[in-house]
Amino acid sequence: MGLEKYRWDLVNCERCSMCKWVHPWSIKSRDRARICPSMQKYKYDAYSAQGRFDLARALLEGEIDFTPKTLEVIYTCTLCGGCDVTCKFTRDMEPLEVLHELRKYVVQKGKGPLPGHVPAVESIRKNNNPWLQPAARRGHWARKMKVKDIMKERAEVLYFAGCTYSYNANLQHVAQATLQLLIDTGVDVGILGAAEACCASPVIKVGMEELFRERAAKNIELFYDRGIKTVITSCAGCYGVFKSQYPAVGDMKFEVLHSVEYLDRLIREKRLSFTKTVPLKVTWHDPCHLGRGGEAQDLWEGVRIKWGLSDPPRHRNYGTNGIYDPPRNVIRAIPGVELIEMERIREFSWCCGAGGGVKSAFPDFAVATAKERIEEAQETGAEVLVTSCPWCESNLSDGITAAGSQLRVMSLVEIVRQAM
Amino acid sequence: MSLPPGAYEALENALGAENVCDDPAVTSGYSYMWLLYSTHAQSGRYRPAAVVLPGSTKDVQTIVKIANRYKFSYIPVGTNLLPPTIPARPDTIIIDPKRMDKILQIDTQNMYAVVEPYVTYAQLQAEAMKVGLTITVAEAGAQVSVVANNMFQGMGGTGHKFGYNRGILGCDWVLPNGEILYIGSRGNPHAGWFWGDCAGLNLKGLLRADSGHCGGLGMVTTMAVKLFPYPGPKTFPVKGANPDFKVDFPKDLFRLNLIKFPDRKKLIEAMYEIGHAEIAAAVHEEPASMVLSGASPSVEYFWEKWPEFMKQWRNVLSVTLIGFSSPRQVVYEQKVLDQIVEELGGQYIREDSELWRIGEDNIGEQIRTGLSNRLFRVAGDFFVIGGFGFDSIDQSYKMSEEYMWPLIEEGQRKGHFIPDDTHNDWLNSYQLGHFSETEPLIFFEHDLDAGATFITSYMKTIQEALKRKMCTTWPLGPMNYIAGPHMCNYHELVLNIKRKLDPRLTSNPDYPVPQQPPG
Ligand SMILES: Cc1cc2nc3c(=O)[nH]c(=O)nc-3n(C[C@H](O)[C@H](O)[C@H](O)COP(=O)(O)OP(=O)(O)OC[C@H]3O[C@@H](n4cnc5c(N)ncnc54)[C@H](O)[C@@H]3O)c2cc1C
Repeated sequence: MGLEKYRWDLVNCERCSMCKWVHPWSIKSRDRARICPSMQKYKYDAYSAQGRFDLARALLEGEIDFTPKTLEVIYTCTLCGGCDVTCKFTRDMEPLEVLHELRKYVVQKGKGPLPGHVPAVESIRKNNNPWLQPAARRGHWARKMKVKDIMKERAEVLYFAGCTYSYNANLQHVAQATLQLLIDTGVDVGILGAAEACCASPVIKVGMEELFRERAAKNIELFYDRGIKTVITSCAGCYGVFKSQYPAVGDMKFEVLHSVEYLDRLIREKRLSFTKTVPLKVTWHDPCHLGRGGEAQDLWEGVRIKWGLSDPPRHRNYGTNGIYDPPRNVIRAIPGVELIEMERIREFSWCCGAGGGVKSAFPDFAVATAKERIEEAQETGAEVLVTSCPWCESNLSDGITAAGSQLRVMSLVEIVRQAM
Repeated sequence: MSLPPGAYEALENALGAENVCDDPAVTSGYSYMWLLYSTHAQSGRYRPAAVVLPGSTKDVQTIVKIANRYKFSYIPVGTNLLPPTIPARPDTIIIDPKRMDKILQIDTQNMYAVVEPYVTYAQLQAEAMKVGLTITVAEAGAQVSVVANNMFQGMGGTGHKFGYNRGILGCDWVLPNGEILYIGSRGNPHAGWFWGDCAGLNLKGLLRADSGHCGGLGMVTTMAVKLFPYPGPKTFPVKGANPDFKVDFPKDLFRLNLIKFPDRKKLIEAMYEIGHAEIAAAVHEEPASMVLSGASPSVEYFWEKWPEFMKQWRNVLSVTLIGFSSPRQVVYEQKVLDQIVEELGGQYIREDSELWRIGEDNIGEQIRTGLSNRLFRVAGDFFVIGGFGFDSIDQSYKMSEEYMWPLIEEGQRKGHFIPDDTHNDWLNSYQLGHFSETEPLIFFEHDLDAGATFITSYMKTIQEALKRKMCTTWPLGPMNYIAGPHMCNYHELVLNIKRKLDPRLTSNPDYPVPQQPPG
């Protein structure tokens, strides 16, 4: 059905503009009232969910044709899902699903993805990662660690490093620290080494559904074959796609956890405790795909009936059941660390700017969005911006450079290790 | 959908290429409107020829001068909630003020703020609350433009205390010929923004009238608006998570009362008495549909509860008391209210009841609207059955009962409007009950048949009002030709003003009144 499935949403949007803002009751200032990075940067309504609804409707009804601008409007969106949260408060609509469908539509019509996306997509096809790195080197980050290779021996828990933590030399230490922590706390953990393959989030984000389904199916099969009970990842991008998109592809017979959830669990079960004080003022950035994008999607197929009711009734995600408390619990459990919250948090968190293929196709937009987040973090008086997503970590670091800020970005696990 | 030769380049030269766009991918975002669709009017509308993003008053003047030179028209917009923002002619551009989004000043001593057109109520109120001030927020939502709304109706939750659309002070107004007209104290160099009136002819009324000029007389680029005292927390007290936010104002300073009366006549009596006693900040009859939709996280939730809720929630008056001076004010006002309620046989909805749980966020809505757009959740489309009754409370009630509800029932019999036999409206008291407005709400599907029923009913309400010599309001654009002849031909006066200020019809040409009556 594709975009057609959302026709009701497209024609019923009353352009109330809620999709452009944090819900009015949660707005605390003029400067931090917006929720949509794309609107903030490009200003025209077209760059909001409302405008993209209008665009989708006009395309479906043959009112307009593709122009280069059409593609720009469709792809200058980080798919952060901020619009989805405030819109859903108000209406029974699915902005985020429409934004995804719009990209699939573009690809079906042979117009997408954008040239800026192609190297990553081709690299995923060829090398199983978007970074143009050889597949054979994927497990090198762990070469000095004593850890089970799940391709050779069984382990209950798979630590899935993801492409960026595997290959990015500046970020590998996050995967190493997390894995070591799991080993130290006695978890029966292993890795896939060179057999680990991209979760395929970057391809579904640019609308390449077929390739995504093929890759996701392979991963599910591999996890199942190796008898894995739990997949733990430190990458919010992988986590989000495992949670929200994989169930549409195959039967997920394993549990998926983000490392921050697992850390929280270890602390609660008293399997992890801290011996050192870390005197730091920190603020937590909720990665979109861990927070509002970390909920399983309802695989609803149905129709709208009288008064816009859904038949069969469908479950909707409100962005609230993502992973918000676990990282905060972990931070609060570390002696000496003071958590100071930013204005836009949890379901209203401001995106880091890197998602949805934006970092590769529109790097300036990505950095402008990160810069705004850095400024917001600075306003708290924190010294460190803590998060747990390689995309956020790297793009927010670019934001720090752009803002000329003294702030530091750290991964939560780094602080945890310091306190152990 | 294209501009005269040279016009686009002139706009680009003036504003920079990134601030002008005529690509259909962008202009589509300004071309579709829910209400136009259901009322068959969408097909008479166009994608704008371009959208421009001015950054200053000077930019706006330049745009307007270019429009005059090259002979095309423009529509100034806020957040585009209303149908008049969609072009009815092909050579029309949209002036989108997204780059004009600053709060220029909050004067705490004289209690006003100076804002640009893309500042929303939520933004302004958030900043005002930090310094102990607030503003009446329109039910259109806290996400609409303060400037656009003040020029349209400017009516909101706390209008009982703070007044109906009385907030406009000094303004900078770019006329359809590109010149600036300074309103109020702005007309006096160095006098600042503090006052909306001025010596001689006071043109402020042209900005507002009943429902504004809808962009037909130029663009206001900066506006000072009145602020009011606010004794509450510095940030809006919200708790919970999407979609179940709850508000949590300190009870000693903010008290919501939900009172059930035996019938609407008694409820109306109570509204008058509350006004006479000069108590309360917000006084509204809250219809069941509005309350339940506000509390509904989904359309399914609404429809599951509606049949029962409609029976239980009848003739309910919502009264919010605010201790502007101290908690003792709330204590005093509550005593007065108790007496009124007792005399008129009202009963408070108990705070431990399910009805209270559903209605309690009304207080948040009155202070910072956040629920009202959920009205669209009920059936897809929503509106008021007709030309909202603006009059005394009694007259508003009369209009509602005599011809608005019979028309609603007709629509219900056709299956076009949702079932609702409450005969309750969103009936609002303004200015301590001296003035009121009633909105009998209808909910219909986004469908052309239902839309046709709605628009026919809407027109009938205007005719019925005229027959009875009652007030008709919201006769937008062409509808003025129906109302005008019954009211001293006011539409001709408005037309003359339009011709004088906008002889070339550059500024939203068909507003406030089109040059020709509808065919
Ligand atoms: C569900 C709903 C509920 C509503 N409830 C209320 C209510 O309780 N109280 C109330 O007051 N109103 C209400 N309204 C109407 C509301 O006043 C307008 O919709 C409001 O002004 C919208 O603000 P906006 O920023 O979207 O304005 P827009 O729709 O963008 O503009 C409104 C009109 O003003 C013109 N305009 C905009 N900016 C300027 C400017 N700077 N200079 C000159 N002309 C300009 C536009 O051309 C347009 O004709 C409601 C509307 C809806 C749809």
